[in-house]
Amino acid sequence: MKREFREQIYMELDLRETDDLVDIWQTNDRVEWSDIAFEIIKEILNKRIGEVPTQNEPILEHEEIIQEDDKLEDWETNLLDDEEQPEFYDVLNILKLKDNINKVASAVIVIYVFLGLLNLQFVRMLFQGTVLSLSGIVQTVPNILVTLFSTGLSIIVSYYPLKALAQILRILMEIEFNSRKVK
Amino acid sequence: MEKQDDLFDWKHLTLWRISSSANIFSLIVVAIYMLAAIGQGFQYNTFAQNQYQTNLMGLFSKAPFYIFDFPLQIAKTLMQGLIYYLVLKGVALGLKMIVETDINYREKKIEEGEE
Repeated sequence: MKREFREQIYMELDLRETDDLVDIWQTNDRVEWSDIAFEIIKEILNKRIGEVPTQNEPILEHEEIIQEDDKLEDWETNLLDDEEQPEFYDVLNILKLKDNINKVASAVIVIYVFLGLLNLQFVRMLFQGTVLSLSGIVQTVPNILVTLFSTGLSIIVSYYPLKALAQILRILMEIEFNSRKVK
Repeated sequence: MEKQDDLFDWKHLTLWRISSSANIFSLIVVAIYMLAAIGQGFQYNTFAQNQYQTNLMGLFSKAPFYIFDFPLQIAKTLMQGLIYYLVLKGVALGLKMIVETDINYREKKIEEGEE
């Protein structure tokens, strides 16, 4: 069985161009290619060119992919690793979009809070070089309340729809994933 | 895929078209808001010329309040564009997922019928 398997790999690799094999040999990607494949490539190259070029350091893991996977939740990794991928959309695109939506939702809070601070009367007066006394600040309470209300409202109407959209995308993706299983 | 082509009817096509339009509009919206942000920069420059007889940099030195106000207003405009962009992109991809889900269920229904 093992011999047959080896013969099959040999036949497949033997069909490849010598340059192609040299490239695989030198790149030495042990994640993409098995040890048997490297044994066979060595054998074929020895036959074709009489020598085997030096190899790079073996690649034992694809760092970028692993780093990216680390950030993903289990269900997201399952979706990406699933053999049967959707025809009409790219899972990775949805995951990236979801990630970007969450980032923008956080940015919304930061920007509106700073804008709100700048709209406060006593902050504006500070920029003009006037420090208000406590009684002066108390007089600006209506302005503080209006600013707080408008800032809060601006955050709510932007933050929650964005968060909802991220969750809707997540749920839709799960529904689609589950519908694949019933096929 | 051939099977999927058969299952892809006019309802899916409608959703697909809306999805494609949303995708295109998302890019247009971003471009418009970028232009709006640039326009806002020019507005501040005009304001500096009218109120302080200086340019934007001069405005920052004469009224330090605008050192913070200017970038925040620009960021706010860009962020609004970004929100619309993400919502439209989300709608586009969401509709595609709905089409995919429906086709998966239809395939299942046909397979059950064959059995």
